[in-house]
Amino acid sequence: MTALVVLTVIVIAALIAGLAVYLYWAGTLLDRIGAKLEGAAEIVRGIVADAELIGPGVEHINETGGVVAGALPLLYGMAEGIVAGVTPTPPRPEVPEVARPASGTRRSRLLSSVGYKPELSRTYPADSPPPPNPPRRPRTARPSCRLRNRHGHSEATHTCVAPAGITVEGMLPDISPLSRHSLRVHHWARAAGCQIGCP
Amino acid sequence: MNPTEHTLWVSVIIVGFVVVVAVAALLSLLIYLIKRIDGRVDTIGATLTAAKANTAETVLIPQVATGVDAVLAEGLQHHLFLGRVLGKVKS
Repeated sequence: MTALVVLTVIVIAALIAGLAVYLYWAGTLLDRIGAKLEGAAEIVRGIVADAELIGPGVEHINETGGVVAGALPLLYGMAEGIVAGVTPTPPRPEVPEVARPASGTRRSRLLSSVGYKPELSRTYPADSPPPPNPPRRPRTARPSCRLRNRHGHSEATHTCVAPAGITVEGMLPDISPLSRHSLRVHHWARAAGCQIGCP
Repeated sequence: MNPTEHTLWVSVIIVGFVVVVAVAALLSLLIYLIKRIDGRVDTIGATLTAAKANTAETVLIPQVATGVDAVLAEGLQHHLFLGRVLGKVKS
């Protein structure tokens, strides 16, 4: 009998104690959660207050920007009109100039292809002597030139003077570095009586 | 106390212990769920704090709108100036 009473009291006490402990624990946690949610609600109110500025502000900016963007072409047109009005324009000739191609005129080769030379067919008055020939460009003798063999190597430095007094050196600078042409000039100079050898 | 009453009392005591254990289990589950809610609330608070930091700069939007208005006013002045100059140049 006594044991049953004690057990009953223990059960009731355990139930009450368990409920009390757990409910206190849950209450503490829920209170903390409530405080956090209250802080979050405050943050949300701040966000709403900040977001309320976005809509009207962006709408205002969009409207004003549209007006500015629409007015800019008008300003451009007026500025171009000012530039066109300020820039001096030369008076237009009464007789318009003949239109010429922008690329210029090209010398015709048709006459020269058939052997016609306009400078030879020029006529002069009978009592006037023909104009003198244009002075020829004097050939300057170069002191030396360098002939090359077929391999392009330099053979030696030669000075070649023809018997008629025409120096061959005037032609030698035209020698291309190709060995065949160089040797041909070399043979031509030898056949013309040039003295080829080391000076 | 007859045996029937004794048996009933013992049975009630056993049921009482079972109820105590069940209540403890259910309250433990309640505590677990409350802790989960607490963690989620922490996450929500951090997200809201970041959002608040992002939207804190929206105060500049009205200032930008005021600046754009100033640009428009200056553009109108340019328009008037160019209109006057264009009339003089063309004349």
